[in-house]
Amino acid sequence: VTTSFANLTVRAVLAEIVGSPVVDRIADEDRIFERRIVDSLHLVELIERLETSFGTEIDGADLTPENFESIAAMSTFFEARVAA
Amino acid sequence: VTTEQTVGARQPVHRSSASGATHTSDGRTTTSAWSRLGRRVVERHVVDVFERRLDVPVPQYPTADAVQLHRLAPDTDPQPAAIPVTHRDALHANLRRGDSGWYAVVDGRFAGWLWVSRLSHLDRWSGLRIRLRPDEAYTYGWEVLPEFRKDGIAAALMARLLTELQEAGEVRRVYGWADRDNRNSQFQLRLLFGFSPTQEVQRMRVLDRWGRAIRGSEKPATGPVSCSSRRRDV
Repeated sequence: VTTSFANLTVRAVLAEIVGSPVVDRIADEDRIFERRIVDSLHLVELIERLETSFGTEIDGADLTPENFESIAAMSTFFEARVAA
Repeated sequence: VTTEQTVGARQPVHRSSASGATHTSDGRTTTSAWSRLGRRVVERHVVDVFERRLDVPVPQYPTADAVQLHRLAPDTDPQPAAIPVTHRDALHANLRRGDSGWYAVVDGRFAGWLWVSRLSHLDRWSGLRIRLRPDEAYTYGWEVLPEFRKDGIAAALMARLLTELQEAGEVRRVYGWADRDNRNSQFQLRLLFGFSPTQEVQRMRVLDRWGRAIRGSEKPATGPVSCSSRRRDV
């Protein structure tokens, strides 16, 4: 798994939720919650789709804003999880 | 800690399997036991208590333009016209205790609210008995009506309340809670506001053959909070 693959996977998951046109306009460092790109109603769907796509279960301790606040943060987090 | 999944929930329907495991209609799994008096079911219900330090910046989340937030406190209007009749009893009880909160109005209609307490008390919503130090607070009653749940109101209420506490400077730590099964509330507290779990409260009680709790059968918990048999919805 490379960084670019993780990034593409996160973007694909987001696109399933909010649509490709929206995701195409998001920079990797954009804060997706503070910009309401993903609203609170879609949090569960986002996490569950990410778990499925990366084939890993997210521990409660990892559910922090730092790991999920942006595409870059999620990519880094899942890259590390899958590599571990 | 949206309360839509717990408060007002109907009594779950129990289905038993041959193995003795029992599954409720709301997704909880319980284990069954037999006694000489007849069949009894032990229901296990897990509540996570979260904490957040207030020296960490509070994120701000945008809301729809039509959303207005108003403060509730003992020194404000005790009968805000927008508060519906269904919420009046809770409103008055919370204000009588000295709690404060914020409520949201959209086009003149009540959309949701969130409360905070500085006093040790029994929280009817979670069933938790709260013990607070002078520099601690406890948020509860986080509720947004279903028809307003796409306007970012829940996050706006929490952000406003945390910001107010932060600016007042008296509170250093805030507690909240979420049912373990309520993943949406869990994720909102953790991901949107950086709450971290500090205690697990396991609430166990014995149900009778009709699925009702037997009085006094709850197992007490220890820690910053403990549970009470007076929770009204479980």
